[in-house]
Amino acid sequence: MSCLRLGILATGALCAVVGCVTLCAAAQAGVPESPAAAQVRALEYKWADAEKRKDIFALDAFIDNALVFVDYDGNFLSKAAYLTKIRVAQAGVLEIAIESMNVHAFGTTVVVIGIYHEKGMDGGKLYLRRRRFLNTWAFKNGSWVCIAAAAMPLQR
Amino acid sequence: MSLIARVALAIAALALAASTTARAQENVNGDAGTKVLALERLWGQAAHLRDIKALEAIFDDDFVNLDIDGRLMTKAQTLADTLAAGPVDIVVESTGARVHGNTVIVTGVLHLKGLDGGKPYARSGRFVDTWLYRKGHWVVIASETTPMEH
Repeated sequence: MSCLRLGILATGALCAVVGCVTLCAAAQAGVPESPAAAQVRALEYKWADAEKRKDIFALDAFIDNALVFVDYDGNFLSKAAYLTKIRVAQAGVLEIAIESMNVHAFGTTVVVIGIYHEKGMDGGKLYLRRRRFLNTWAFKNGSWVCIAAAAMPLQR
Repeated sequence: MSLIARVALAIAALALAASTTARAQENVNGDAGTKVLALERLWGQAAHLRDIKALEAIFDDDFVNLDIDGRLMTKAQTLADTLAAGPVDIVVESTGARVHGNTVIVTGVLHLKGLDGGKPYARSGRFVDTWLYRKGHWVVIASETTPMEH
């Protein structure tokens, strides 16, 4: 099988998984998810994927310039500092995946609470870090942008 | 409750009532940040005094709270937790507000001192609060506090 076909199959499988996760989450809630909530949920998955790939261009598009970011250690980062951190300091990250999410829509403001994990290599050793996050999104100039993001280590 | 605490509670309640009345007639795009920061201070006072009525007015019904211990709580759970908590001193410093239309993001650092099981503790965290102008007044819809590593 050619690399191209493998790539198409892999992309299709990824889309199916993401779609299934989205539908399951909505079904668990018992009510259909609002369009705003569904759009932001999709953006959260894109964020995780872009962060893993260090895709600064993609991250820049859905992060507001006035973003406030509180890292898992309590440090405050601006948008520029966050993007620099992603570009420079995460050489060993192998996977960033969202485990669960609850999306609360308030008109043009959406709050997302969830758990994600990060797998990677640090000093030659494999690590797994799980964290809670709370992100706030706003609908600005025709698109959703993240205006606040915070994370903390998940209590074991 | 001491006399000083009662007086402070009454002042906080009056200030909250007055600001609520005024807010309903004001433009959300005006000095939203200043108003929300004033409400943040009221929130701190109300939590310190365990003024549940004041807190009920500050929290949206769909309020979600991720506290410094990583507990995810609803409005009802946060109110119950406030009532059940032991005496705690809360000092908030270096707050800032960013206005995004009908939404305001407040960040800051808080220091907690109290007793847990008879033992003193001191903790610090960086918080992010999300406020929304809803039905004529400002309410907090989400709060998160990340413990600060020393």
